[in-house]
Amino acid sequence: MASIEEVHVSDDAEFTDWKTARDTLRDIRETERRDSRVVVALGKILIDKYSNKLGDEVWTVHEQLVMAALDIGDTRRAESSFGCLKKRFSNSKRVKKLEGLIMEGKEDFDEALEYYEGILKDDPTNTIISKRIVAIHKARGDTALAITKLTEILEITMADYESWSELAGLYISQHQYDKAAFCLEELILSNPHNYIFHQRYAEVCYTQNTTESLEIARKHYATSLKLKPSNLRSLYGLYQTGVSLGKHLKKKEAKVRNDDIAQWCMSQLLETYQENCNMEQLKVLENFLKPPSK
Amino acid sequence: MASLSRIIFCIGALFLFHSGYSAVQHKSFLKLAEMDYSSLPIDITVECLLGSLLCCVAVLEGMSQYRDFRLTSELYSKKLDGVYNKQNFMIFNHRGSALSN
Repeated sequence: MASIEEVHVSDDAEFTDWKTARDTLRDIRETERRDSRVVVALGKILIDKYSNKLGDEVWTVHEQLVMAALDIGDTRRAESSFGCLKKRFSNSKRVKKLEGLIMEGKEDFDEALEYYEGILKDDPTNTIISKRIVAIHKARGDTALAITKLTEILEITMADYESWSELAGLYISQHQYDKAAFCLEELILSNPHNYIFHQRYAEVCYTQNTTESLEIARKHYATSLKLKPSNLRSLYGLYQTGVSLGKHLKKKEAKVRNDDIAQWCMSQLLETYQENCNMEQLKVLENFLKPPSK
Repeated sequence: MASLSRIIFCIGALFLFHSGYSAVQHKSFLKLAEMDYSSLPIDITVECLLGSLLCCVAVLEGMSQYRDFRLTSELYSKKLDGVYNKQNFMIFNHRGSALSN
């Protein structure tokens, strides 16, 4: 049924030719991965040697490069790319955001905050800038303030699923699992077919570790598995939930049912790993999965 | 594959065109012979149907690739990495700068 997915290796940033490099950067943009080292390694060469071949895409690559370079602390590269963008689009909102990002990259948080508030004065509905303010508070470690600011944004733009996802993450970091669960419910409502949302919700419910929340977790792990059968993380989650529920519940029938679920997940996991593992590794896995003897 | 489907499409289109032409000719023949029009001869009808069938097959074959019709299949390829990484909330004071130098 399930198969082990190809593990994405993010350190293979070898430059072969400009077309492959361009396609890699495009793919990273579309899937919103955070492979900043790859982006900088490839983007540098593309911009320095092949910028005439990229056409209009060169500006997108510049923008991508600014963020990736800041992410790995290469402020000089970020500034040079930003300079090109500033020359070309002097009044663009996106470029203004990049200027703030560079201040953040240098950890001039007060300056950046002032700068963002100046932009917001002219354009109070600019959510991207409001989100940056949240990010500054987060970077300073003031999660409580970040949460307050973020809820203010969400009162205006309730359908913004990126913000809900971020708020859930912030609540999780504060161990406020009830509130995080609420945010994740919103995410599930926004797209009930996304297996990742179900899985994440189930993980939070599992962490709460009460009988009711474990039952909810079981339901959502199962939904996540139904939406994507080759999903080992959910399979393992379902296994853990089954084991915990088996311990929590008093009634014999319910106990047996949850033990059955755990047993089934275990067999599925072993079957999946059988294809790619040798006997020793399988044995380790089997011992790991074995429920503790009573 | 694409060139084969193109050839099939051309043949189908020729069939269609020819059947239409024959139908017009048949009608003008009937007028000259002063006979009443009842129906088209069977060979013209068959040619027309065959032509449209060939065109359909060619167009369907010539398309690049079919996509999975299930709603969930598009989300299959989504990775946790992409969902957890929220670009608008990126922060920069983390271990990234230490690791890359």
